[in-house]
Amino acid sequence: MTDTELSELLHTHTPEPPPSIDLHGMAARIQADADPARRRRLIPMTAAAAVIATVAVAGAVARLPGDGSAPTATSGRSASATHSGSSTMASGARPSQAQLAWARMLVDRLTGQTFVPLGADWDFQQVGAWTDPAGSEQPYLFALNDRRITSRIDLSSTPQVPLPAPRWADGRPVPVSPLPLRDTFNRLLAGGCRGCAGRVKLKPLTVTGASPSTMRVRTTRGPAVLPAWRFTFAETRVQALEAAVDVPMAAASNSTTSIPPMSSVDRVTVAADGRNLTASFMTVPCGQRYAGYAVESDHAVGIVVVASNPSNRNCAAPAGLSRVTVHLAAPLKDRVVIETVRGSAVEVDR
Amino acid sequence: MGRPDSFTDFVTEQGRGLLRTAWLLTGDWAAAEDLVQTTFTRAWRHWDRVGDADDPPSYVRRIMLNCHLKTLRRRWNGERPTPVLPEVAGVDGHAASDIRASLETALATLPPRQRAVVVLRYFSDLTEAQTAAELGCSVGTVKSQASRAMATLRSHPALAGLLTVEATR
Repeated sequence: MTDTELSELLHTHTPEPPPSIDLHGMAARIQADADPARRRRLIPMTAAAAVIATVAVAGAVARLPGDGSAPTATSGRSASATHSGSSTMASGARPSQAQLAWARMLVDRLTGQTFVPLGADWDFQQVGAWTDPAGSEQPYLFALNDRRITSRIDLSSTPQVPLPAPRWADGRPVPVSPLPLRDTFNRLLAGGCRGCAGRVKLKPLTVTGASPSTMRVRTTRGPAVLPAWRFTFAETRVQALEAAVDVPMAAASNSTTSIPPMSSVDRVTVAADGRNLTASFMTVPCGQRYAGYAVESDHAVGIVVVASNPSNRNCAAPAGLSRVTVHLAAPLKDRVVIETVRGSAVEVDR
Repeated sequence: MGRPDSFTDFVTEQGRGLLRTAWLLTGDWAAAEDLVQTTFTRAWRHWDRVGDADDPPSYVRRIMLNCHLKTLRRRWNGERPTPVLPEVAGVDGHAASDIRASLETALATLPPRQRAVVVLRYFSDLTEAQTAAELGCSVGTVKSQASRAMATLRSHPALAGLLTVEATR
């Protein structure tokens, strides 16, 4: 192996960071933690938040109209909401019937599932980096994101080496079925973000090769290694790795356009009592107040975050981390927590 | 530089590249995220100094290397708690055919400073002199570390046995 070959190997096969790493949120956290003025303000605010939260939990829990219509889910338990370090009762913020129905559907999808990956786009990884992402490669970059991909290879072929069985990190088998190449290619096409390219003119990518591979994913029960197919393209050295397992994908992001917008929860912390969840999410703090609601089943808890008043469209504040506290009807225990925009599982700090 | 919005822009623009470098140094996304967050936290404390640097991304990468190597020195014999038992090498024969897994395995065999030299020279595409400046050592040390690292990587079975099975066209 020459120096050039090693360099090419590192450039091509060093993976892109997973989408679960939120750099914008990281910057916001660092700045917030380092701001001494904010720390001083936080002490009385925390005390006020504790008082208000106690009042909220002790007070009557609002039953929403239409509660209990889903057979396995109890829904709409109101809770205290905090935003940017201050605590407010978002009395006017309630999810709509459409939002609750969507959340119930997402929660019910998890019934009986033992393998639940974390994050919405867990099944796809870009391999290698674009050399000119803002120039000549931009049409292909957006084509990959939009999944504008065709294949010139025989997708019915079987690999010379059989795909490995899905397994947990300790070697135990994961109870999911591997997918053949054609189904994995269809799964690749079903992901991505339609219409996210804006005015960029896309140039479709052409698959010229597919090799069996593996993919590590984080799940609610720890890391797992899955079989995957690595797709190579005629137009770029960037490759696509798609998990070859028969596991439901996160709901399409454009599915949420038919319901009022909700904020997507990134992370959840559960209190010692197991009943109070603090969910954090990115927002643009433009005078909105947020409230969190839980849609519960025996297997999962969906967090619905709604804003109490419309955003000020002229506001140009930078995005920041917000939190809501949600009270559960029963302790969380080993139930999965999902965000209810796309229905993907969220990491829980216990 | 010096303003909060410039810091956020810097993190979002440079973060992905730093994360990939951190992944090559640590071989683990969770550790890479921790390393990058520690790096940006230190950079934010001295944000004016970062802004005054000739090459701010290079300055921040140097912070990251120092953090990484210092942490390893501190924990040279430390126990590493893991939520699950570590994977046993060779359990999944197919994993060896995954180029990324092979790369990860081979890099993990290098001592930390040799690994840092490989990442800076062959991933960040720095010259020997730039690598020496970032690691705070002489060019001669960089040359010898790179030479030893290349010898280890060349003889590593994981990289020698890369497997690519192209589908039938």
